[in-house]
Amino acid sequence: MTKNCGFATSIIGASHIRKQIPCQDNSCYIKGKGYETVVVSDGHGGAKHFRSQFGSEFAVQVVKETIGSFVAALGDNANVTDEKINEYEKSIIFLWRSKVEKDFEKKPFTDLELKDLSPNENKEVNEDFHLAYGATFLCGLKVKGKIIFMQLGDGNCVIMDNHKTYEPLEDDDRLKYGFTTSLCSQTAISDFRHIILHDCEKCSLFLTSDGIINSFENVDAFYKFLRIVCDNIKSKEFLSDLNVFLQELSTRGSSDDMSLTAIYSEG
Amino acid sequence: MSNIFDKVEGIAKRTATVFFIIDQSGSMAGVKIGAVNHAMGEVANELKKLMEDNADANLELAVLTFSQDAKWMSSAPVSVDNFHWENIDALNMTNLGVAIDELCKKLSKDKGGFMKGAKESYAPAFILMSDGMPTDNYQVALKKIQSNGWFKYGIKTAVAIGDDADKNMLAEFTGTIENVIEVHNSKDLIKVIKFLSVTSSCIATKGASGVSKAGDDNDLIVITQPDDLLDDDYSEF
Repeated sequence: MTKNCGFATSIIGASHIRKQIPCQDNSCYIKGKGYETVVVSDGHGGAKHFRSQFGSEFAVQVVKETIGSFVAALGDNANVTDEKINEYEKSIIFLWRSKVEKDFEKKPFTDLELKDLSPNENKEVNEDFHLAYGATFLCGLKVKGKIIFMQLGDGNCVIMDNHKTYEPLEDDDRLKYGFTTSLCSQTAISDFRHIILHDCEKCSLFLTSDGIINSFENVDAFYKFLRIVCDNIKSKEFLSDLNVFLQELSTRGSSDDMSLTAIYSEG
Repeated sequence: MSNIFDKVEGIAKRTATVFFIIDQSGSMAGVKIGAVNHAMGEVANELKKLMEDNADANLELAVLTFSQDAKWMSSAPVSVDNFHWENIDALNMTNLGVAIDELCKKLSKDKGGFMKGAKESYAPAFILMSDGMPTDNYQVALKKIQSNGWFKYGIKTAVAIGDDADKNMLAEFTGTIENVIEVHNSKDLIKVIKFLSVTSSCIATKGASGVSKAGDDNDLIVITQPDDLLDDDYSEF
């Protein structure tokens, strides 16, 4: 019987510490009845996304509140289809927007929050307050030998088995050159991407925010790092050593916040 | 104290690259090429000062000069700490199309390309300087490079040196006439080269992109020129 274990960690980036802004990444690992899930959400760093730490927090909360029902609805054989995932993605966006709207109702924008925006940015967030909460969304679900990735925005969804390390979702041109798709976007529903993988009982999966891959010279170095994570995940000092290392990685690399989550399979 | 992750290799800061594309045609001879040499000789120091306050990225410079042919000053972009300007002379033609083709070849992560990093994170900056009309069919090369992602989303500015500079062509390159600055004397030329170098580098290393918009409709980055940048002395060129 394959033994799984999982974890999630998010650390504040070196540049955020310097500029005294909060960590805008959030993540979680959930172990449910017959399934495991990991989530990463990375709040956007631009000036007009000044509440993105709440946006990423809401994204993780939505999954915590709904993933159990989603899995239950798949039935005993986890009969997952593209249509069911599409519906779940729509509900994620709807519930995220509801949380944002409740928060904005309780706390309208203050002059202090708006003072550093350009006239154009000011106009944009006043026309659509969801922008201030903009964040990415990555979710990995392992159930009955299947792995499902759902992704909106940048970051990496990685599969690892004994033979290879790879990213099963196709490249998205909208995630290059510093751009990203987002929960706050008007086109969020159609921007979502997902994939269903079968016969993955012995596979491990990772979700990372883009602060991590942006700290490596190339993709091979990033994958080698994930292999080291796999090789040491059962060690007593694993999580404490990882958090110390991620802080150093941010300082020497991208300077960005970093999230790393995994569902590890012993195989 | 040892850490499980001490053996992790290949860690690097993200790199932003500033490309200078410099006209060294015959008409640049004399005061104009002298001003370009003067400005470029001082650009590295200006950029080093800028990077002292920016620990989040590396900045590299690549210089492409063109007349009849186009030639890179170095075989790869050079870190601002190691950049040394070598004075250039004015030569003959203004084959901008040849220069743009050569630039396009390097905007790639393939072997021989200048772009690096695990992801296409920082869009580069391009500064084109020219005093005249192109002498080749540059539009074909320009159309090709406009579909290259690094060029499309990069920060593009241009310096129109003197009355004979083809400002429409320069605006085609930058995407907007607002990113074309016209100069008519050597003092202004030096100031503008430094201003565009520092401003473009600042924007490039902060990764000024954002949320993707529908289709290709992402905002062009427009440089705001300070009101007192130019002396508006038209006596030299």
